Amino acid sequence: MATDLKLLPPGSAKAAAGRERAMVAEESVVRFDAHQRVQHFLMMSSFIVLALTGLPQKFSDLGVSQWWVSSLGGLETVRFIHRTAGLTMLADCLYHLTYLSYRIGVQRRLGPLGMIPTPKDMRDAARSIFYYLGLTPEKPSFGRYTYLEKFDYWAVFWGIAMIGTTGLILMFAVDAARVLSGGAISAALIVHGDEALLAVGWIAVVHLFNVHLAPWAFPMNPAIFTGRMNAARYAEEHPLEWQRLEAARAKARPPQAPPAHRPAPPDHGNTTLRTLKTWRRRLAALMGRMRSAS
Amino acid sequence: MSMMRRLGWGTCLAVVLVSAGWFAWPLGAAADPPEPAQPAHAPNSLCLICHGQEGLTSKGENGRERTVHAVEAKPFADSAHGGLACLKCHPGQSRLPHPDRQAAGPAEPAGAVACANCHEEASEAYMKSAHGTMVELGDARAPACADCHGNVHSIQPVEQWTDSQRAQACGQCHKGASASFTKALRHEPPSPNSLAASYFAGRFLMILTAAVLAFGIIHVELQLLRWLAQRRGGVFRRPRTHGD
Repeated sequence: MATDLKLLPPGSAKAAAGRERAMVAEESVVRFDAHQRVQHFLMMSSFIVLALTGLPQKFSDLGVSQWWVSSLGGLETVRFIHRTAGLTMLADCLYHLTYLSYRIGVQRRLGPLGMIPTPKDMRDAARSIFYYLGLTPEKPSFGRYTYLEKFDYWAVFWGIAMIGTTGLILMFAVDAARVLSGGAISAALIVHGDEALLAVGWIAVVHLFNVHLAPWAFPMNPAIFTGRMNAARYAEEHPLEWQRLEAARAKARPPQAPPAHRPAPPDHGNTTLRTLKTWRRRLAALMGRMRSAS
Repeated sequence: MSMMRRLGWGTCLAVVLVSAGWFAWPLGAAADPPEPAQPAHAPNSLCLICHGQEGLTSKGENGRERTVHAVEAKPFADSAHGGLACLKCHPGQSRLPHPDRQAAGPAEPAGAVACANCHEEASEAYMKSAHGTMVELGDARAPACADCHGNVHSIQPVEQWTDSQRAQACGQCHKGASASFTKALRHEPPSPNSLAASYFAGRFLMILTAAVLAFGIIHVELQLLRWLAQRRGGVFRRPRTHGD
């Protein structure tokens, strides 16, 4: 599947060995490099500022919005802060795109391509739902990025495209009207606010839950700030990636030290027969449960 | 145990139903209130005896001298408001000497309140526009009706304005406003006939938001339910290992 991806950090063999020793000692795995952490920090802080200065403009009829805007120093100040944060986010987006081109195009390190959705993600999503409903006994084995993490990532791309473009249109409305019709300017205002509401809703419900409020993550999953993740947790949440890293480590290590391999979870192939069997098992489980419930 | 199991399925069903209910959440349209009966007003010619002359002064209720606000009869008669009685917008001014304007209620010509008495829908749409946001958030630069539409006593319907007249009105604040820029604002809610792009964009995003957030909420709820079930060891069947 993703075996040809070079995901380990760059550097000399000596440095890699040192890093590996440190990894074993701290029992943690490198998950995000410095650029990714800075990019997330910029994205997070500009997002919070944008939400805090944008929502009161969308819901301007609420007393709390009016109070908040006046305590920030009036609408003109709030708009200035909002636009500064918006340009920061766009700059962060450019930073990320430059980073991606350099990593992939120049360094030939294809790790970021792991974010591209594959048919496995659809299967993982369906299997996870089955698992949550109790129809399958095991969680699907995730790779470096789970389907939900990929959704989070691409939702930002979609959001930046929609909100960033319309934001620039609104910021330079008079100039934009030389190219666009008046109706498009008016629609830009609607799209900007409604799409932003969707983004805030998603972050507040799904992202906040999975990285902060979930009982298994509470109070927070610090990987995006420290760049490292506890090895045991990594092995549990991203088993396929963990196996890949283990295999890579075993290859790099001299043969006299056999690594303690974790037992590999059953590999679910993609053959029609296997799929049929799995479905029959699920159906049987469901029927059995309904019988025992009644 | 089987009770717990049923509870789990019931909760799941409730979650799905509540989330599905979002899609079938029509916003009921409020019925228009009936128009109040028109009171009989003194003819405008009576008012224009004094207010048709430039430079007159008179003594107010407190004995203070004040200028008489002059209205040119001809432009007024030709304006969009030409058919209205003066007292329609200046209530409480039928007494002589006139009470002070402030005491007479909302008669300030540029005040949106007086305009909203008749132009209810337009003023509602205005409050929902970018300009209305400025009013609500206390921005002093927010334009009042007369700032764009001109003097109420010589006002012309916007539909009859030329593009350059519109561009000039917007250009007072939006430097370099073009004809197409002036079409961005309309004092009516978006509909398939007017500002169709805004209407359909709003509709699309409402459905998208409902769908994505419904998925997100259900997903989070299922994650939590499964976790709870695992902890209690009962709502769902315990994990089993399969031979294959």
